[in-house]
Amino acid sequence: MTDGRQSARVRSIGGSLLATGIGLLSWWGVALMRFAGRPLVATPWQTVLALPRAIPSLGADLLATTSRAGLGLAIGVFAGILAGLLAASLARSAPALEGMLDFVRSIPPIVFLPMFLLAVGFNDVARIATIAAGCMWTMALSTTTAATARRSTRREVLDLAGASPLEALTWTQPWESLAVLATGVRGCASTAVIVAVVTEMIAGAEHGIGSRVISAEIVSDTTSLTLDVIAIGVVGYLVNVGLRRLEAWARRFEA
Amino acid sequence: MTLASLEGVVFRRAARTILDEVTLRIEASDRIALIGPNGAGKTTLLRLLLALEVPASGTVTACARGVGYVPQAYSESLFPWFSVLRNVAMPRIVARRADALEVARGLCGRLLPGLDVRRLAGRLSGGEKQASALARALAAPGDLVVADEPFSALATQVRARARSTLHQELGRRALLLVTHSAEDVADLCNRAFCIEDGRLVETPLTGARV
Repeated sequence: MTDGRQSARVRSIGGSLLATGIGLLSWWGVALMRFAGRPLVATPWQTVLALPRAIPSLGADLLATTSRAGLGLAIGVFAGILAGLLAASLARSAPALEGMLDFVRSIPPIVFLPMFLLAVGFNDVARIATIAAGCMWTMALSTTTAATARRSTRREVLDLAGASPLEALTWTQPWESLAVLATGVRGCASTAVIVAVVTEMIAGAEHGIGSRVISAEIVSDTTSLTLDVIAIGVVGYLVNVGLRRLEAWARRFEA
Repeated sequence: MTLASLEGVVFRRAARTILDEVTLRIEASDRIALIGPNGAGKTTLLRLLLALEVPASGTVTACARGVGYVPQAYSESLFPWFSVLRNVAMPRIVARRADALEVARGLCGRLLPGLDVRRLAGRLSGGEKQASALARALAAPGDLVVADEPFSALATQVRARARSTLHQELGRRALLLVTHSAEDVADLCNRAFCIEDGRLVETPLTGARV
């Protein structure tokens, strides 16, 4: 490694440590403040001390939330791809379809929850259906965008070579669409985690980070509340990092 | 045998007439150079012959399927998710030729010597991509190769090698070449046309203004 590179690496490690230190100090500072006589968050030290005791139940609640979010995401992505393909195939004869998809996507997904609660009752089906509904429209729009993309030079070259429409599709479409679809999935995953937590908070789930946060709030347990917020933040961050890598991998195929 | 032709073709983009009453016939074994300033309509003429554009008026007899084609946007014409070998073999794979990979390997050896043909096409340099696109056009089983500035990204030495390979590999096939190089015209073509103010004018090969 050259001297220049080494000193840049030392500088970046130093900068990161400094930023982490400032972040922790700020957190501590906020924890010492009082709002209406109570702290907003627990101190980092109190949070760390609470972790060993909370781990078993926190793990189970995180698993419940991520399972709901994952299942809702999978259903939403699958349904969204189907809806997007259908909309793309009809886009020429009914251009209003894309506008309709855009309209439905603009509706905050959480407002679908009362509809599902009324339709299927206060259970996980309603929560997962709400998550799926939140993801579906974003995915449908991404799929329509990918499927109706301008005819590429690659398609022209395939047509000139005498490829059948199916051959031309298999040589290009899945790969050309990857980046757009990966971006769609990333957006849906963030939505899925948010909607999963909110549905747990509203509809009184037995397990899940949302219900855990509400329980901590009821008994005024600021330390558990802080720990739960950080835990779901870590999950959201890890999901985002994983999907960003997936997106970067998909973008490698862009010419 | 006429492989493709334009008869009195007019092509307009917005209000501007790009090609005006253009007539061109490509016969078997013709080696035609198309020259002219940037924006004159050379690429448009090629695309009309390939049926990738529709004229305002006139008659187009488009090239048959299986034509070899090096587009100006050669980089966007490759399949970056497939290997160089599969890219070059594409026209013969599509034409169900059993020798697709063998022919592609031979062309890669001549135009991309030393390159690992298993590499993804998306990982190639600009020059390597253009050489791959040229190799793919030469792998096509048709009677005509249409090349739009196929050497523009190649270094001088590589360019000479590519030109010589194109000359040898063409065999009895016809060539329609868009170029800005007098050397390309002299080495590869037996007829030259220039587009001036939308009109197609045949020009002498020697001293052709490119």
